[in-house]
Amino acid sequence: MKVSFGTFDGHTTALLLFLFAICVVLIASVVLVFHWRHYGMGGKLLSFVEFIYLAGVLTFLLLAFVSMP
Amino acid sequence: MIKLEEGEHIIKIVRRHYFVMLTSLVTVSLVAVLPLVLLEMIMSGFIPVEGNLGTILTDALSEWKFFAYSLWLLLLWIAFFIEWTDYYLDVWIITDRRIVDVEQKGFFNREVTSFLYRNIQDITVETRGLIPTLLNFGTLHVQTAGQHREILIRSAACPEDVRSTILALQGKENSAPRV
Repeated sequence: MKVSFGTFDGHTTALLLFLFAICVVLIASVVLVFHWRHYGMGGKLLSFVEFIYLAGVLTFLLLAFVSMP
Repeated sequence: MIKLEEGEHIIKIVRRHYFVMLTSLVTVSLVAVLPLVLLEMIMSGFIPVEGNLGTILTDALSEWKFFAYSLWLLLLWIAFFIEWTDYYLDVWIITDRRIVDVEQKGFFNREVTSFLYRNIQDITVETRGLIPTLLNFGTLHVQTAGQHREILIRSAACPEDVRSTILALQGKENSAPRV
């Protein structure tokens, strides 16, 4: 059975949700990276955190994209 | 980044104890597995789903579970880093001339206050409970003569060491000849 939400079918709903998630990620990432670079004390820790954060975000986005119904 | 005066050196940076972040990490981890537990409970019939709803739910879950769970983890990942940023930016910077108290309340509310050692009147350390005592963290209060009469940092790591450092620097400042 295909799942649908109102006027949208499942795939369109998933795509809209995915685009919304990308917007949220972009806004959150800009704010976070701005704070780390502008107010942080610099050093290796922040670079490491930035790398881990971005790697995690990209992994989850990729997983969501691949498993999109 | 805090701008230091010429010749000013950072002696110590005080943050909340890592236990605070550990608590957040455990909470986020529990929330992360919550959908899996709920799903398992529905599938095993522990949570009874009546009538057609069961079939609809099973169909929707078989199509959507990986996608929805990826987005759920993404949301929690961001939430954890927001929490970490708050932890990281909420700091006391103890220099050889002053204490800089940076209070980060959310993302767009930040208060930076500086105190000279000669204005400090009293320093109190408060350690309450079993875990703070065992892990050596507590609340540090500094009473000052300035406009902001008290600053405090909750769950500060090694508060007694911080107190000793501040007292030593204050002693040095008081014994130095005034220009």
